[in-house]
Amino acid sequence: MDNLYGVLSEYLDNNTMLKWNIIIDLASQIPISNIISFSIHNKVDYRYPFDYDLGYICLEEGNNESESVLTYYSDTLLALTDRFIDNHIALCNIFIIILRSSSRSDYKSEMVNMFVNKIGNDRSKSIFLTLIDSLSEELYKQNNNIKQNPKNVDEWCRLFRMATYLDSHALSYNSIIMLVSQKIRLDFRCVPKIPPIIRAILIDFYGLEIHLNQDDIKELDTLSENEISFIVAYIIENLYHPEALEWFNPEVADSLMLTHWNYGGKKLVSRIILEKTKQQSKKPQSNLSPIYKDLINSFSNHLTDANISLWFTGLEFPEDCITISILILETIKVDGDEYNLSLIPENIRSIFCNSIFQSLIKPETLIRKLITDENSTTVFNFFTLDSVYQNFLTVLCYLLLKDDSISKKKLKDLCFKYRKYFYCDYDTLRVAEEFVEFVLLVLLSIIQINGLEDKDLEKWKDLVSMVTDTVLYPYIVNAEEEEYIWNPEYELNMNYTTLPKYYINLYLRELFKSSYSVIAKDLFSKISEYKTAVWPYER
Amino acid sequence: MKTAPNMNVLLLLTQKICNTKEEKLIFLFKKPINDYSESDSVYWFRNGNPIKLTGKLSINQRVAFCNDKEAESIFNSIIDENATDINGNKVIFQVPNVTRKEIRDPNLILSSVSYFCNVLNYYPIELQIKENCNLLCGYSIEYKNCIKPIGILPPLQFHTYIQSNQIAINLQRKKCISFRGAHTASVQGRGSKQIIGFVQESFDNKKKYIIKINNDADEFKGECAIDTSSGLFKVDLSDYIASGKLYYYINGKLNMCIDFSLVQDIVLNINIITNTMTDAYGRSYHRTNLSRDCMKPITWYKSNYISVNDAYKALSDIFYHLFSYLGPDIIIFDPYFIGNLPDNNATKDPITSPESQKAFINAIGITLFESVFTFKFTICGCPKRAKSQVTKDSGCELTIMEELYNKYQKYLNKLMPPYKLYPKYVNFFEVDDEFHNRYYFSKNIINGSTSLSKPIIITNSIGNLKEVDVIPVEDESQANMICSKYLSLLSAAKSINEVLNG
Repeated sequence: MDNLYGVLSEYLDNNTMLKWNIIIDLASQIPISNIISFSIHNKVDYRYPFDYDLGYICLEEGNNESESVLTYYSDTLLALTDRFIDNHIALCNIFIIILRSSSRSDYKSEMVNMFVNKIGNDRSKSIFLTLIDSLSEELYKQNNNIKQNPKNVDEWCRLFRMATYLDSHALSYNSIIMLVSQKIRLDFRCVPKIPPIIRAILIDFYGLEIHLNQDDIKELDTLSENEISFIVAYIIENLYHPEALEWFNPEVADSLMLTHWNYGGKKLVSRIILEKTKQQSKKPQSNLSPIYKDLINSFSNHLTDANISLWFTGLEFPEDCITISILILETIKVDGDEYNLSLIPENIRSIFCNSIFQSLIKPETLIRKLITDENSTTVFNFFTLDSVYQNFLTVLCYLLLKDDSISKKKLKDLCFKYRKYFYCDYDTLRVAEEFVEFVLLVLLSIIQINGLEDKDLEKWKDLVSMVTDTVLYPYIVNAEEEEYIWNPEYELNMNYTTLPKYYINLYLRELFKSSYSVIAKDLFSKISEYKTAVWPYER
Repeated sequence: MKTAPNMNVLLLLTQKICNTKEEKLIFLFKKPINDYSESDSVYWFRNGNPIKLTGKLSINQRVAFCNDKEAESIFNSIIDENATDINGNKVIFQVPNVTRKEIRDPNLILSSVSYFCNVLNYYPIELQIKENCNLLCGYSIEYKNCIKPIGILPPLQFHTYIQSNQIAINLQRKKCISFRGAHTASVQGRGSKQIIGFVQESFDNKKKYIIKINNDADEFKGECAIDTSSGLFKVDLSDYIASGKLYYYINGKLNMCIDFSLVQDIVLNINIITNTMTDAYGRSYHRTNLSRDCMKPITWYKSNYISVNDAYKALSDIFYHLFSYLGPDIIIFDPYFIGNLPDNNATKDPITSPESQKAFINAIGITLFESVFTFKFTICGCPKRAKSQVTKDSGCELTIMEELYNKYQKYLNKLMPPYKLYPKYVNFFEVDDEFHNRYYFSKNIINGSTSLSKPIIITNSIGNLKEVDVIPVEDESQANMICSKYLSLLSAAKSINEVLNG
């Protein structure tokens, strides 16, 4: 043990490079004693930051003498710090020794504190930068799965998830952060220097808080897509930790909604909408409501032509359409959760209908996406057929009846475009089926709407007849091959093909009982003409 | 269902013949569809004008939608009279000599009528390749000139038709009969005592519709009448059955028969996947047990593939199959080793490789990964010959071969971090004696003595492949001769590790 200072001193003198594997080097030079030993595994494992274990100096604990050993050990390191105070690389290497020292839980943070106090803030910061720089070069260098630069919110969120599966405590990242911050908290300005995977580990594993000050917020508009994506992913990650997002304000919301809409605001709104359907969102510590409110206000306060064109064109179907529908509904809330559809601003009606029409008009694009992507099984995503999807269907139904942008002919042409896919193999046919299910669900959503005028009801009848004359027959014949339709004793769970059929039957049953049943007479008679089975809505 | 489906889709693929208005028939496909039309008219997609599928093959497509009667008439006129009317124009086809064959299910119900082409080498060679057929069927993001509407032909099915020389297929309309063993009457391991199901039919109240269930030995187990108001039937059986035959009779006449086996007692064998890898073409692999008992001769021509990427994907798969057949200890004799690796100018780092080398190395990577790094590759080359293929860096002090070996070493060790492939998994050996053939072998050590087996002839070197044949040597005496000669070369070969390090 007496030898420790000497051996370390000589080692630090002789090494002018940053040595992450310093413990492995030292293990051969320091004899193992009853108070100090080494833990080294020569195992390659690419969950480790360097593909191998960096090793630990293990300090004895649990007996009366141990505290004096720890004091001696930290005194030795502090003495070395003194000796090498002007040698940057040696200080970095001393810090790495501290990182790789294993003892009682709070010992390491005590040592880091002593070390930082000894060398002062400027040196600490510069060591922090050197270590982070080196890590961005070296870390997970060999692991192709991790070495990636997330480019959008989804990729960032995926990286956060991936961090969960890494050996996140293999390097004490929190101790590295302590070089520049007392808390696990960083100023946003430090963040771009930190490699994505370390950010992910810090946020996911160590709960790092990132703070944006007023100046950062003022500059949000100038940030790159990549950094905005990171910020949005960070917000999503911390939706239930209000203290991590104290800085979120209307100015941030405006920047995300107006300047960074396509890769920022849209992603955040849609995620919050999803979260709001979960029970967890009702917990008091949830951050959802204030952030959501800021985003909604930003939307409703900026409904200018330029922004409308930004928000309403190039919508991804159906995710973006759902997001926009919810934003529209939020602006026309009248009393608590009640909406008044007639308040939907005139200037967004046609553009919304047309935008959805445009996203459906090329079935081939949707089909190609489905049949070439092994992971996707559906285009219309009826999995999310809950209140959120229902809101979208209702808004669209209302606008189809009130706005003239989608004429009878347009709908008929669209139906014909999809009809030919009923003639194709399974995946393609499924897209045709989903299209009919979507159109039926939109039209059947009339049951959610009150106060329609006669001319609206006439238009509904006309639109329905376009469907019954074109795609209803092949849909009915194919749909009733499904056990959910023909078997009154159906016991299996709903899946992505039965779920829309369940809702169609539910709505048909309600329609049959409702005051709209008169205008739906032709629809019911056509269904009866085409089908063989007794459908669930009839039972 | 008061209105029975009557629609069909007809797909017609032809090739234009120079200096004539006639078109060579490549493929004719008629499929009945669950749709209905009151009209007798034929709807030709894009007015029946031929739509070019790919410039390379000059194949044209036409698609028609029409009722049963019209579809039958068009199909027969093309096959029997070699002509049909398309939107008012008479189009004449060159139809090869064909043999008509009725395809029936095991219970002799007609499922399709197929016409088999009797002319040898009739199809364009490109259609023999599965990947090209998939592209034509639309299963690709990049390739837009596919058969429209997308999905009219399932991709693997198209290739199967072509491979079996079926030039025209007339599928027959089938009724939908769905059924299952009733949950309440089922016992695990024994089957069900009640079958519940549904027949989709335009029922006529004057007729009787009966479902009869027999067991595997075709012994009667139960029957019931179908409820014509819902198409529903419930057959109570005299015994538990797990599989058997379902017969559908209309007024006592057999209309359909289905062999069935109830799905039950399924135990999923879930292997927890600890690791997956993505190959050079973006495909994912999981760890499996590699072993293949046979290797068929394969021919690969780059030019036959519509997509170059598909071509090299297929080449990589050929090597991968070859390796899993030969493994775990694989000896490769190729005078040029794996060819030259171009330097990356900026760094002198051989990190780029020609596509065929990439395919080869990719196959090594997948094989190593899937075998959990239990495979080993020894590549023996002939420096006397290899030298001629390599350019020397003028400023370098190493010999031309040392330079090449260094490149191999760098290249291989960069590929699958953290595994350094060279020399533990892939090693190179120099052979002094000249040889020029290329063979792949499996190396075995039995009772301490080394032997080579399963010789495979490879007709070209890895360097920059445009075409290659893979031919397993089947004749025993020829195989023995090749193995003994190359075993002696292998024994005398020097590892390049020795060459580099003295």
